[in-house]
Amino acid sequence: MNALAPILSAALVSGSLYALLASGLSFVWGTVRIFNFAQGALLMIGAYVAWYVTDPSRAGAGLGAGFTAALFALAFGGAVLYLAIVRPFIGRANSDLMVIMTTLAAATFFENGADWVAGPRYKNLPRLATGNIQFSNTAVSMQELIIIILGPSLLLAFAVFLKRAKLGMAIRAVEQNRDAAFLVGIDIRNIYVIVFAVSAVLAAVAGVLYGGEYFITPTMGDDPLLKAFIVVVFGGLGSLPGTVVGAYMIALIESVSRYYIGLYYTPPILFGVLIAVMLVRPTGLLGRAYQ
Amino acid sequence: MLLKVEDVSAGYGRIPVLNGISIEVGRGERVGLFGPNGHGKTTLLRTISGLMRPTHGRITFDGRDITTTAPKDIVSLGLIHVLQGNTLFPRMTVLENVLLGAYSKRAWDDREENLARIYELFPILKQRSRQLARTLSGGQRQMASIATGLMGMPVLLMLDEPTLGLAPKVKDELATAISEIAETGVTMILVDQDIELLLSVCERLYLVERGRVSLETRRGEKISQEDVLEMYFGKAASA
Repeated sequence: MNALAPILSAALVSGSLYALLASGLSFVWGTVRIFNFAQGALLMIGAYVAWYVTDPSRAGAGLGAGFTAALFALAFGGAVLYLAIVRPFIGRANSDLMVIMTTLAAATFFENGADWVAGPRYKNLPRLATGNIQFSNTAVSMQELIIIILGPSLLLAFAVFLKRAKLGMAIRAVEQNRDAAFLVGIDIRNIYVIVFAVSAVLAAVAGVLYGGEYFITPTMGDDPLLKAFIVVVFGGLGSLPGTVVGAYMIALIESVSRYYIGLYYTPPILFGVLIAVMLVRPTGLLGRAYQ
Repeated sequence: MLLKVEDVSAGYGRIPVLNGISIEVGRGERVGLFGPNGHGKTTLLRTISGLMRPTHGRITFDGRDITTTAPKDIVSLGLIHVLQGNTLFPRMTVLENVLLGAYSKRAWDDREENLARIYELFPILKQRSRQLARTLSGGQRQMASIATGLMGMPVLLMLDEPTLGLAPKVKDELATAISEIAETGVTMILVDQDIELLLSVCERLYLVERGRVSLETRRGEKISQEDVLEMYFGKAASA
């Protein structure tokens, strides 16, 4: 059982990151009923914003300032993204297809823009904390430990907000019944802006955590977006618990497969698992059918 | 007049449903709409509450033109629409549903008082307050739906077929509750297939056919079930 500790720690780290990114996707799908293909690019932008503010060769304001700047920039950026490329198409015929195109276009635009602005050299954020902690035969870095704890804590706080706050209730109301939400006086258009801003903030958190763990590149969001896509379909679109459970399960399968079968065959295995789940439960593990 | 609908047309896509309909509701008045299914009663309510935009005509409420006003602003004027088919927020508790009824700024601060009054009117909702709305029976869901409307402190309450698909006993219970609400003096537009209910609650009726008012009863006029049948089917049927 020597493999258990490294497999589990790797699964918990990627599970937390997938959960952060996928929750944003799933949340936007549940309320606005569109799929945001720019979510990976938002993660990337979050990492770059944090790097520019943090790195001694640039603003040099430290990681705390970098993290904060990334959160605010992405809250604003998410709202602007919605207003610019999603709202104009809401309520039109084929709006879902149009928004797939506009968000894909935005993602490409952002990735090339990052390449143009920041250059091709890989960048790296400093770690949130240094040092290692020994778990049986595996050393887990403090950075990884922070990811493992911060991801689920943030999502728990988010779930409590949705459950308890008046605004959280309004967001759930919009998700469950749009007409009835209109008729109790909820401003649905504002809710959509907020939903986009919140999911962009979740992407920014994931971006800063990725940026300290891996390299910052213009395409760093592509693989996480693909995994997040697998996670939300696997766990059930629109269900926050389903997304979180899905994230950790996908991360665990990935981690086991990487250890025993290898990096090369892991993506096809993930898709194989996804297809198998879809055949048995077309709505995902905890999802519902949407019209 | 509290509400004036003048020559309003509206429809879904290119299919017109309302063809120049006009109705008027005075303050404190209770008005009933009836008529065959698919002739525009629900569409009229949806257009008044702002869920649909009229293609033609004018709607004023309390002297304000609300023809193109957003639903949330219409709600905050106290014009409350309770949808047909007890559409609630299914995966929220009864309490959460009812509290959301008080979402607009106008009603939020008074929510505790109003909740107490609503629990008095529908005691079953108090018992079920922690239950998810989708687990309620049809009648209870309708009660919760009306309760949600009342939490918005309506100046004008529009109820769309509140007794649709309910068992006779539940229907009677609901009819009693609606009469009680009517007695509080709230202005009301009631759409229902149950003519007896309309006659017991409303002072005036409109017959809606082919997207317009084809007949209306005058204020102060006594209406009987036979009169209504006559409006519906012509002289021969009631004879």
